[in-house]
Amino acid sequence: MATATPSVGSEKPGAFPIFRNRAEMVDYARKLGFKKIEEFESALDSVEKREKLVEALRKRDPKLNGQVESLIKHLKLNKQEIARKERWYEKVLKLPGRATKATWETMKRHPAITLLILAALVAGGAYLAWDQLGGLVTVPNPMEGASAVADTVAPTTGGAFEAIPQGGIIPSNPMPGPTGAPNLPLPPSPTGGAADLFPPNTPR
Amino acid sequence: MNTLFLTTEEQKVFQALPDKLREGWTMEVERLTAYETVEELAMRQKMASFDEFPQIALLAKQVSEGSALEKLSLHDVPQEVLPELCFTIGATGLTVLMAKLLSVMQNDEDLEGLMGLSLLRHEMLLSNAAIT
Repeated sequence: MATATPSVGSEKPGAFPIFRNRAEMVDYARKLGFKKIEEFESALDSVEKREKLVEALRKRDPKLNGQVESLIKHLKLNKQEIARKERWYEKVLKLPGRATKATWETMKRHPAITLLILAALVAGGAYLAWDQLGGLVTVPNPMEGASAVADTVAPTTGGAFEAIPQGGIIPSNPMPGPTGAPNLPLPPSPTGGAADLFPPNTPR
Repeated sequence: MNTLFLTTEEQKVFQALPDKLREGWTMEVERLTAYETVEELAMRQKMASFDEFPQIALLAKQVSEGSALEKLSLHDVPQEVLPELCFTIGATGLTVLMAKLLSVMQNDEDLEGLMGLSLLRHEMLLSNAAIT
């Protein structure tokens, strides 16, 4: 199981901190003056309990000005995802070994799936939400038919995905995310071998 | 454990596969809808920790530098990376992978993989729904 070395969340001057795990969040909370993480979490969740947090954040970064609410929203989201990650790890380690082994073997066996995974990690996952970003990112639309996902990527990946700085493509007011299953057009029903349906190297 | 958790749309594609391929597999409708928002996926990507898997960083570097598709392989990456990987791409990403796999499905091993992915997605959706 991958675990991050507990350390202070990555912070750049003027940037919002990112915590990879609870230990990093606890460390940050302590530096703000919260002796108990529960107090910090309550301050994030409840407007009524937020005064101490707002004061601490402004004291820590006097240049925060009007970004306090944005920072609190960011910290709440980080807290949520840390909790989800903890829960996910509890669940995934209990899954049948057969399922996880089969999944991994399949991911390795199909180059297109390998590329999808790596592209997600490189492009910040945002390419998966192409529809929501509405063309703000300059990558091929991978949602034009699930079958075209690999086809839109040229044999060399150069040019298929432009380098996107981490976090640099997420607009300050992102469009609402999906509330249901992603609307992915699925491939047509196969009539013969699956490989016949999707010609390789279809131009973008 | 030969059950696939598929959305109604995915089931249509699955049902069109050859009988011999589908034999022995059952389906359950994936009704959970707690897919990640754009903001949540972006946060997960920033939170991702692959310190224990330098092979992933190397592969990601190769992708961003434009390496040829055929040179990219996960074979040197340990299976233990799977939980972190899946969390980072979320149920949304797992759905994309499933869609791709459904388009290239050819044998029982692929079906096993689809089963695994669908189970991972189902558990991910449960985790997402439990904490909002």
